[in-house]
Amino acid sequence: MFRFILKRVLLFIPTILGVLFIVFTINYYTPSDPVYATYGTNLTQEEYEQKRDEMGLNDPFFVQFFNYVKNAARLDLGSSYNNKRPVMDQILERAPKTLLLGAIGITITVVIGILCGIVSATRQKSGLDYALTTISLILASMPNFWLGLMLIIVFSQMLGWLPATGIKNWTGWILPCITLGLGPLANVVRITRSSMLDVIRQDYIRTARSKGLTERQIIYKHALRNALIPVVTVIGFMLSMIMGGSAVVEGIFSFPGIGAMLMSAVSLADYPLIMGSVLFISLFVCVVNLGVDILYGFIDPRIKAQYVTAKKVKKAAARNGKEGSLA
Amino acid sequence: MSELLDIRDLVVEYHTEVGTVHAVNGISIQMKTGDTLGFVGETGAGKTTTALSILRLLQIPPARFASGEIWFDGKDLLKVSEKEMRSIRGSEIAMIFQDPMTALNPVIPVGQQIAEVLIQHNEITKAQSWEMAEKMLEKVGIPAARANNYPHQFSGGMKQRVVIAMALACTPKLIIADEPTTALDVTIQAQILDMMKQLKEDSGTSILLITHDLGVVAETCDKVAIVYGGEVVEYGSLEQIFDRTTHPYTVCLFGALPSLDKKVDMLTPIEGQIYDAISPPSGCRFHPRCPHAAEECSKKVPDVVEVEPGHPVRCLYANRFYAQNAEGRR
Amino acid sequence: MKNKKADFLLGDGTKKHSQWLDVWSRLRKNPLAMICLIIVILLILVAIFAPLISPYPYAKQNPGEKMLYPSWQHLLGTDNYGRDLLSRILYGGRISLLVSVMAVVISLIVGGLIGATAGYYGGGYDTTIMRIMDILMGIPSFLFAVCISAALGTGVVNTAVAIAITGVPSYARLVRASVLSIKGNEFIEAATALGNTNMRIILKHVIPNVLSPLIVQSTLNIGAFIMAISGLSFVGLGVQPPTPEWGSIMSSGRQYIRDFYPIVTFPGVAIVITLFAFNILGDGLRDAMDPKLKK
Repeated sequence: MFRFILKRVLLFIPTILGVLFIVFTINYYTPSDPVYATYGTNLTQEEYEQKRDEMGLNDPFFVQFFNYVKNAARLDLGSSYNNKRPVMDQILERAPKTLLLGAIGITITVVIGILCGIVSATRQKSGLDYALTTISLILASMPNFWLGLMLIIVFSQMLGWLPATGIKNWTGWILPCITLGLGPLANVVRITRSSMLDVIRQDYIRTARSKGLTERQIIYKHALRNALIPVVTVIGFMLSMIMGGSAVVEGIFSFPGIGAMLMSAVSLADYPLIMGSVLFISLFVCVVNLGVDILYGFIDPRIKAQYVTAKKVKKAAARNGKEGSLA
Repeated sequence: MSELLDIRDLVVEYHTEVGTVHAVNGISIQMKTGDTLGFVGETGAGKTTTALSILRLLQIPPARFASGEIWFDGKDLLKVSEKEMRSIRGSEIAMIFQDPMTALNPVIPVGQQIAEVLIQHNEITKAQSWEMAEKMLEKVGIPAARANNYPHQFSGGMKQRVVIAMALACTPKLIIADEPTTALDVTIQAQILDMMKQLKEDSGTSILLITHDLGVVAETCDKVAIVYGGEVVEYGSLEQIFDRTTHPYTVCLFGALPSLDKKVDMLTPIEGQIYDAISPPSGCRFHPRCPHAAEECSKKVPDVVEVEPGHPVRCLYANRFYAQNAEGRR
Repeated sequence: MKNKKADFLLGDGTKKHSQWLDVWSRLRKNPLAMICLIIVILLILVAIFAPLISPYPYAKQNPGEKMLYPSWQHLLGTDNYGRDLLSRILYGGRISLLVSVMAVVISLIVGGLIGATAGYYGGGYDTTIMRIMDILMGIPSFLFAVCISAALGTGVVNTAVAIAITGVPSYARLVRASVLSIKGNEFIEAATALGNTNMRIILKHVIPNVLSPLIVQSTLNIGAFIMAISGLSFVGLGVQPPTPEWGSIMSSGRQYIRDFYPIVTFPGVAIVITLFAFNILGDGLRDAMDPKLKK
């Protein structure tokens, strides 16, 4: 098991470098000039050239990238053009709230999605099944920012139950969390439903029935764990959707997180802040994906086995090879 | 002694998009405690449907019990409540399925899968059930230490042993074994059959053995029912069926069986299409493939003829064939 | 299998024909998908004939008619400049659909080529390319689009390119998988043995086989891209005002959300209807093209 985890973690390093490279490349081609953006536009040609050299902007592309990675490893992502504060500080200030928002959002998606999926599958072709499927399809067709605006109109303007913006107390969290959680719901419902329907037809479910178990035991003990395997594989993707959506949604609700900061950075063309925020959220998503990968190994004993078996086979092959050469 | 299992005129249909499938058309069988009944027929003859009917495991719809009764231990299983049926499944009637590769839940350790049925039907703790599950595994020849293993860590034969251990866990009165050895290697088949025989003698349960293999029947059963087109066409003791074969279909089945005693140049396959359950033939259901079919066979539905005590045959010319074949063997 | 081979050897074109007829007859049996197909066709017609059917010019400002609620004169009301909302939404659909289709075409071509070559040549090239695609997929696609859009700048073409880049990995994976699945098939070997060139094999055998998953993916992507475009426009990237686009219309109405709902509500309804239609149609096509998948 340790080796299984180790291998996943090692595979993760090129992923981080890849994300850094992509963000760096995009940043490299942005139309802004870092020198002017940092020191203002009233520099002489000489001063300008000197600053440009100091900032390493005349170095070749890959040298610049290497320095970027080196700095990123020391948690230095440069400073904001706008307020001149280090990007990393600003991100870390706001990160806990955004991560918590994402965590609550994905929890809503997964829990409600799986429950609806099970209900749909066990009452296949009933009115409830059709209703749940249709609602989740409509939710999947809504842009999350529009859903957020509609929730504000209904729950803040018309009913006056919940605050439209800000998080002075916990009630401020409700609308952003629901907005983020409902979007990817349809995917979870659909995958749970279809994999549940598939599992229910399996022979081992018939075996479970022949043992005299109740429907409840059959669904929750025997079917669900098998049905969840494909659901687990998409959790990473769901989180990616939620974290991507969090930027706009935070903006709408004036939620003091990384997303709202990213949105204002976009309107101010504050490139270090944009790239830093995107980098941070992307890396967070990658870390969660890594976690999901490892979790997958625990839920499905066959995955671990595959890994172990492959290793054993290789070893055996190596052994046989040696014997072969001796003979 | 009264019957343990008494199926009377069971009729089961499946309603599908292409039409009604007449899977079981009035099957009647009786079993006494301690019997091993071989239930023999081709694919599609209605064997598995009958077996699943006994445990009421058929999906309804598309399946439908059109008529008939299934008496088990003084109760009509088609009439009892679902709750009562659940208490019978696994504890009084257990089932061994055809394909051990798919019959076990891949994400639950095998020990737990055995312990589960014990907890369900007995007032015992988890620890006790686990201990019993380990004992059951040892009984079927698997070290107790492997109770923690998952199904994918076992070979096919081992998995079938686990399935058998699961079926025997609550010492049921009746075990339905649906082609328990078909999916296994020939060498493993013999092992499993020997083990089942041994376990049966130890615990005194009855076995309904579903198979298409007369060799398996000869080795394990004391009663045989031959099924064709959802009907029992011939029934009798092992001796009656093997030595005084009467129904043309049974004769054909023996013709398709490789034999070690006699030197045969070629096995005789049964001619024609297998029974079409959606539009069954008129008259005798076997007549389109019967080598002795007469004009009459396509018109008249044959009655059951008792050619000797305890040996009913469903054929218009049962007595003639009985006399001929008994003659021929002598 | 045998049939396919025989068809190839005979150069028989009739099979392909009946295959698409089969798809159509299966699709016709799915009432919801058919309704959505009609909606999609209507949307396309509206996009083409927007100038003819919209009741007012989309840019005509009327200071006397600011922020009117829906009435017979203005079916969906007017915006903060007194412009007719219905007309703006009809034109907005035109832009959304146009940019989305452009993005689909770009990512289909780029992703398709990457995937096809990766699948066809395999080896280290394949591994490297697919690793890069994996990494690209790891970045939340909306943030990725924001990033690229910020670098490229706004406007119709730049937005289409930004969105298209986020769609490349999924096409590359899809095409690569299809290519791999048919690469080992006998009929490809037979074609090679008969002296067909690589290019010819790709054109005649690989492309027809990957066509149906690509059609499904593209239908779903048109919807998904419309959503992404409106998101970009909503945050001030993407398509800029005064060009009407569903996201930018909503963005302009956001500040009036407290007392005037139509500007943010109706473009969203248009998006929901459009996306719903494309999603259901995509699913319906998937079921119709691969009946094995369904049950």
